[in-house]
Amino acid sequence: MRYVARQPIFDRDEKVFGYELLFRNGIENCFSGDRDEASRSTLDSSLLLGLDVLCDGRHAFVNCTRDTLIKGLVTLLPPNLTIVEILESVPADPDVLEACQKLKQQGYMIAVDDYVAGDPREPLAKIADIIKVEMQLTTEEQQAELIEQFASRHCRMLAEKIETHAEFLRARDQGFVYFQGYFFRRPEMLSTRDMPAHRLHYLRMLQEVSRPELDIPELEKLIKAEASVCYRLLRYLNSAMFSFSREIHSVKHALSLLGEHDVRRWVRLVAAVGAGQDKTSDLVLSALVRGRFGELLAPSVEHESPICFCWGYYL
Amino acid sequence: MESVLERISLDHETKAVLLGKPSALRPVYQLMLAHESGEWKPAAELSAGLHLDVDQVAGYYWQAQQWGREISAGE
Repeated sequence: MRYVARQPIFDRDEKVFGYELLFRNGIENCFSGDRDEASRSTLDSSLLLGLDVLCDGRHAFVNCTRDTLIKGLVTLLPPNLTIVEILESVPADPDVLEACQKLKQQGYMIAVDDYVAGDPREPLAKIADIIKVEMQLTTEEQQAELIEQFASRHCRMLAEKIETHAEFLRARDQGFVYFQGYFFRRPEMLSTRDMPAHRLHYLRMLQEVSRPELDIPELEKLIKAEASVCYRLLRYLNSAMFSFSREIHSVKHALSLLGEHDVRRWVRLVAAVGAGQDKTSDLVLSALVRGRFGELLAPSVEHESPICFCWGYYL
Repeated sequence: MESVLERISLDHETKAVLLGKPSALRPVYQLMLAHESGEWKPAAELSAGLHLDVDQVAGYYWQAQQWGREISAGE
């Protein structure tokens, strides 16, 4: 269960629509059916437990093999959140079609993976809710054809392997509705727009706490300049978590109470969350995960952890 | 990108990673990306290259995911 990754799928407004879940167990990262009853139920129940947590209540694209489909294993997952993604290797035979129809009746959405022009799986595509087209495997002409053939109110087209923001914009113009790929995490995004003043401010704070020697007066100045950070710091210290005998009113007092280690930690956290306010929440989360991952890895790779933490924010 | 980086002082290694230049930290960055996208094979290879235990690294990533969710849920 520890080998879980999720690839975000965005809508036309660059908001997260859902995630394709990738597990290590099973062939080709598939959620594959295990013939053994006991281990099957273990896998399924852990998946069930984790699904809303893993996807933060958004849709989960779960890869299915023919075996998983026909055995109905996927029905252990909640239909309102689960999108059954039928892998390219699954033929559109009568058993598969029947299984899909049944799933649709139960409220699941069906997605067909890696659809290409002249695909023999047309009967499957006709009943699908989402058709995934890999941009690198199809020409622009073929993409237009597929959109004309299938895109409707009932069937939405998803562009896969979108690697740059320019590709995202082009696919959106073509008529794709959902977008999967890492176009949002490319550093080029940074240069395409000016950095707002408050973001630069947060960066300065991050930079300040990344120094080996903490310059408290300087940090205090930076914190005071940003009202929302001030407010958070004081609210945090006055919360029930700390039971200081009297209320803390000054930033200076707050910083001295926290101690160096917690000051660094806290500033990084607030800066990461604060700077991401104008971004989708997924980006903030991914920045936090990257930062923490960097911190945990740092001792083993002989590099200072503050630097690794900052990565989550910059990269 | 380079002009953005000029406005903030970062250590040399991190800058190199950001600009796609060779750096000792680059494999660590790639390892992070591999975990994020569920590319387990490259993740295992990169871990081995850094003399890290594959399962331990996966455990760290899982821990980081949980931590991130807890933190952002409170916001």
